[in-house]
Amino acid sequence: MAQRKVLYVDDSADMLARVERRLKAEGLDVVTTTSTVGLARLLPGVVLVLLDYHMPGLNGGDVLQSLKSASKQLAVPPAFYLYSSSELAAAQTHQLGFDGAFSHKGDLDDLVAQLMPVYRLLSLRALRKNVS
Amino acid sequence: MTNANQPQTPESMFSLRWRLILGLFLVMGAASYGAQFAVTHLVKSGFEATERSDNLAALKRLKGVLQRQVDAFATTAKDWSIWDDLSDHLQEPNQAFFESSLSAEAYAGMGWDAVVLRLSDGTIRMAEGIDREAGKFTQLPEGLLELESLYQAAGPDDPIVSGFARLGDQPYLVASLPVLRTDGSASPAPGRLVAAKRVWGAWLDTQRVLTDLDFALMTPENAAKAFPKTTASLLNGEDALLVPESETQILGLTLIESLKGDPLFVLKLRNPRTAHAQGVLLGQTASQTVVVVGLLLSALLYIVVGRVALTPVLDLERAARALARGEARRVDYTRKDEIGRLADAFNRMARTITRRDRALRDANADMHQLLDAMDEAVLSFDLDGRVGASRSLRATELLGAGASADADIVNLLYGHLPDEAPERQAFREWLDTVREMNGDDVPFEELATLAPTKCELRGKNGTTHLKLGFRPIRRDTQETTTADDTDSPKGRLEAILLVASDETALVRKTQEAAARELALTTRIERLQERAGHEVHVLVAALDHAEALLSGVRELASATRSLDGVEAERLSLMGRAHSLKATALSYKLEDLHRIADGLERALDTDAEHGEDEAFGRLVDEGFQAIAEIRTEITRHSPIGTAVLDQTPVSRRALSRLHGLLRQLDTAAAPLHEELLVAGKLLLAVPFGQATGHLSEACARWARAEGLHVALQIHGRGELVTRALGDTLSMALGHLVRNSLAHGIEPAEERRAAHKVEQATIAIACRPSDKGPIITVEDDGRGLQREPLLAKAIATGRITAEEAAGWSDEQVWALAFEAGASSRTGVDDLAGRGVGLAEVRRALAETGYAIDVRSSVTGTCFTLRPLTNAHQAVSLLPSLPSPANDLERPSNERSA
Repeated sequence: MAQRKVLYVDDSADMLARVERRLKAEGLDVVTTTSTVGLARLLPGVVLVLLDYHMPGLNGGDVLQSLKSASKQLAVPPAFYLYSSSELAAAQTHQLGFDGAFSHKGDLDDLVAQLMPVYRLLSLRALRKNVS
Repeated sequence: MTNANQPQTPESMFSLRWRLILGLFLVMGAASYGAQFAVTHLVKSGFEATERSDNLAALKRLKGVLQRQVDAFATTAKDWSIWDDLSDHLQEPNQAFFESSLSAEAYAGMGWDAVVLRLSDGTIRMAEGIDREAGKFTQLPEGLLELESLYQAAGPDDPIVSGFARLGDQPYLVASLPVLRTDGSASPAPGRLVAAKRVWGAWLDTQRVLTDLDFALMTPENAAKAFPKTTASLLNGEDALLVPESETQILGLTLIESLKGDPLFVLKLRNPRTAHAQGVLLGQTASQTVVVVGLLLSALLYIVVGRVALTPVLDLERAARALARGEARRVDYTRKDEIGRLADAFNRMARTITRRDRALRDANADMHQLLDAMDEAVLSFDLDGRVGASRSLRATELLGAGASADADIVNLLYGHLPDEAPERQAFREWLDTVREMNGDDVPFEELATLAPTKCELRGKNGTTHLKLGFRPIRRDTQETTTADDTDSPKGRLEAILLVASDETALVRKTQEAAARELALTTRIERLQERAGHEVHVLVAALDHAEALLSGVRELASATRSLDGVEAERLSLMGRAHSLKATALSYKLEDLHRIADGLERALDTDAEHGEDEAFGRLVDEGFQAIAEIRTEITRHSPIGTAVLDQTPVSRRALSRLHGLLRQLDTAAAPLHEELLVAGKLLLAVPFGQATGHLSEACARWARAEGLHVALQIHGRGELVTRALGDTLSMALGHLVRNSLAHGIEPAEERRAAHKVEQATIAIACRPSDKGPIITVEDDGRGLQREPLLAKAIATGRITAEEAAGWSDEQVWALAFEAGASSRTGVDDLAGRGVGLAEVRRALAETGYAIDVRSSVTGTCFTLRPLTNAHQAVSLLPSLPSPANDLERPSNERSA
């Protein structure tokens, strides 16, 4: 059973490094990037995409739209979760096109607590879809 | 084990008992029916034979009776034929005589119905019919004279002739006898007397007669109507026949002859209350008796069979049921037959089961003791999430009363969460997945990686943190296995074992440790920050401090007294004072204390301490400096390199490098080492070669009306100075090339579902040969047609050749002089010399350039051709500036 990945896109290299290190410590396969170049190539095998929305160097809406467009080609499209410190964005999670949101950005313990069940849930659904 | 409270199976109607009863009933019913049939048949046959025989005898007797009646009638007539005085009257007919002597009443009293007296001369003296009821003479029945004529041939002296005669359908008993005298002088008889008596009736009256009489006479004509076959047989000489049953009530016919020789039939009539009726009645009685006897025999047989076989079987059943309830019960049958052997086998089996049951209970108790002794909560649940009946004591303590049998495991662990909570949904989904994939090869160990690993239970005493583990309970053909088996376990899952351990204390300690670590980290980060920003000053201060300590030591060892070296003492005291301030600014308390001590020791106005204490201060100072240096290098992102941050003249370095090249190659190891050191001194960070691009790219993009973000990765990678100089030119050209040819306007990017802000990413990453540099954009990619058109226009290739060229061949055209796809010339591109110049310059530096392109972007890759750049690559990178961006993690592993 191939392990499924988590993709985290943010404009903060520090956040990427911290989140990547922490999630890998939890046993997850994590891909992080600040670049939108070649982003679609990272999608295969990804079940969960973490994405900030308000990023000075990136337009979160464009990135989300681009990733969603690219994920239509996949057999099991990933779920897109907002990971932002913006309360305004969190309040508009579904209006912005996200499937869900993780709150308290920066608190990695809280992120793990929120993310792990979602990751397991998505991985199980992807597994069942592949099996069926 | 079977539940002792399991309800007993109700006795089936197909049980042995009912089958025995039913079998006996059927057997005895069939026997009774057969017996009834046989008895009835035999009785009937016997009675019929008897009746037949009786009938034959009766017919014979009937003949005798008839004959006796004939004889009696003849005797009666004979008595009346002896008249003493009749002779006279016979000679002289005297009507009065006859009327007085032979009155109608007298004849009627004798039962006569007619009388004819014929004299010897043939004269008929008397021919009268007699109404017996009225006692009067009547007209002689027609034909009687004809009957009398039977005797015309007989003389007066002929003997008595008697018998039956018929007149029409009426049979008569007739006697013809000579009239005798009382003196016996019969001859010559004066005449003959004929007396006739009707016997019974004609056939037409038979029905009436049948009810009253046992027999009757029939004329042949009437008999032939009623019994054609019998009559025909009888007329053929048969003496007597039994009439078939269908000819009811007539059981026998026999034939007699009339006086005239006509046949007369005698019927033997049936008495319905005898004979056959008795046989049937006896048959019925016999069959009823047989049924009753059969039932009695059945009951007796049931009792016997029940005692012999059924009761032991029922005892065995009761014992088996008791065994199922866990009660050991013996079946005591000492017989040596099959039942006895069965009982013995059952008792042996019961003993074995009891022993195994006891061993199982002991093992179960041991297991429960073991589980209860464990610190983990252990319970099982089925694939529907229903908790099993058994659990460890710790499970009850941790999970509470809710961990009862049939409880939902999801609610048990996540009952405090709403249904839509991801943790709850994930666990439910996991259960569904396990159940769905359950089979002989279910990959439980892999599925277990997606099971929850912890949960939090909210209780009165606060939150309990549980670490969760799940183990499969498989059921294969032989035995239950668990995932801990060394061999790969096979078999379908029957249940899942939950092993939960309380980690509340550990979590709290971890949280406390994390808090302490956070505080410590904050301090370290502050130190790192100070070290990063003021490292040069600190390192210099430490050098100064070290020099101070060395000077103090030399001063002390030379004079053994500080009084004689005033100038040096004052100098050292001033440096100690400066060191105090420096140590204070860095909050280096130990160094501050030591500097303060030295200052005081060097102060001639103060009281001097012991030389030994003075020397100890110097030693502590050296030690403190060493510790501070260790601390700096430990927390510095560039390690010991921070201690070497000494400004070096570039010109001097170039000179050093030149001199190193001239060294005798015989000293190869030293030469190589020195060469590497020289290269290191000559290396520049990659960020230095790209420093100008951030501002330039923004300016070029604004000029083109593009919205572009430039990303630079690996600023800290070291490149040779020659490569750095080349890259400054080459990367600038490649960025301009992306802006001129690759990046689309915002409208075009939106139409292509691209992020409106384009990106150009420049990255430097190490490799075995040296740094590899990539310049990648997310633009439209290289355009095939303009490049081919340019090549055709310059005669580089023909149109026919162009049609067969691959993309790689076309992209290679971009590096040829004059191959620009840009139609016009501006500040960015269009002259068609850029990429060719880039390739040439890179080749001189030992680098090659290639390009990959698609509709999602273009990527130029610069690779070292030789190992000339290797030494630099093997060196540690310089620390990245704070605004440098990390490489994408996926690229690190590429």
